[in-house]
Amino acid sequence: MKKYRIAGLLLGIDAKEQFLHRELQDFEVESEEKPDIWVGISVQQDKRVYPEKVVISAKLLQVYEEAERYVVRYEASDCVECYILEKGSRKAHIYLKSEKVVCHTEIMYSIRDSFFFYMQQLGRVKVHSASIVYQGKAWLFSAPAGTGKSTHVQLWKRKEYPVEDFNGDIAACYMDNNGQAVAAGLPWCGTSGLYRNDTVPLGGILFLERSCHNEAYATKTMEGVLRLTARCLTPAWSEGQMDRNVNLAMELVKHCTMGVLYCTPQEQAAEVAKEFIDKILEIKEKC
Amino acid sequence: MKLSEGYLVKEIAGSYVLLPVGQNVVDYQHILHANETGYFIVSQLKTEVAYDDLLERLAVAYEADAEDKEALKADLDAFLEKLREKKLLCE
Repeated sequence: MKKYRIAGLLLGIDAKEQFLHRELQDFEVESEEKPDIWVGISVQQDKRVYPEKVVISAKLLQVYEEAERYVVRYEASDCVECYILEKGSRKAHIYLKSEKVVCHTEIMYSIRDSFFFYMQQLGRVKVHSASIVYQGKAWLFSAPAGTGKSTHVQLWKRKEYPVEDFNGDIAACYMDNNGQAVAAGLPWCGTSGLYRNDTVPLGGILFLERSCHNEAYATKTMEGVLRLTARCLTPAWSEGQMDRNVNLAMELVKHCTMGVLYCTPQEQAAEVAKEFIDKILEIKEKC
Repeated sequence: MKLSEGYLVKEIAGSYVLLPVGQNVVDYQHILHANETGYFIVSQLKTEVAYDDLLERLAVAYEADAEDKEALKADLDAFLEKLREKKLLCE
């Protein structure tokens, strides 16, 4: 079994080398500890009969529920038959249609989504965002796909502001053992290719909205919690899962800044965002 | 009548919201905000309840006299209509 330290958790994967995507290597660790989350990958032997109860029916996947587990099946998949998420433990099983056809993207998504399913139980949420490190803190720019998250980060770099990339697609956020809000890098970054294995204090999350002007404001608690919950792509298949997402969002909102950035794709957007963040940092320094 | 399946009622910063879960998230069902009265109504609708019973429970909870009951009825009807619009009510 290979082990990986991701978002402060130990992920164990039992699988042939050929099934593992390259980015995982940067998170690999030697450890005798029992994994917090375990994923096994093998080939489906017999024809699978899917449960009757469908909890999610979406364009790309179906989620079925039984008493002891969830079964997730991708629509139109090339190599992953399904993956099973046990309810009574933090174990996932990914079943491939055949060993001969290996589609790394599908397998990667299955590992990723299995990890996210269980990391929620361990107090972490996944926030869809492009993120940077600025002044020693992670700042997430969160919005639905196509809004301009990556474009916005590019504007910061074009202005030559002192920033580093954190992740081009998602970040895990949680409260660490010292009661500090942190953002953790993940070995999954969409098509951006931008990720790093690091855990950084979370400065704040800016929710982007396309506009004809550039303006930023800090949200009040309710708006911050609801916006963050909407961008938490950890599962909300059940009331219990949604409750966890909201509780984690409420905790994060207490410990870092949530804001809204109305923005254009011009450099002024980065100026406005930086000014907003600099003011927050100035206030925090005084307190 | 009863609240539709697939919603979580949550208190956030002293206010209440109904959050879609499961397939309702996929189908982009919207969040519904509620005040304390709305929260009380929704919590009663978690199990099947008749309209008259619901109105009576509201009256008792708010210690309403006959005049107040008219106003409560108007509030209840308005809130139930909101739930209907968002397809949150099974009747």
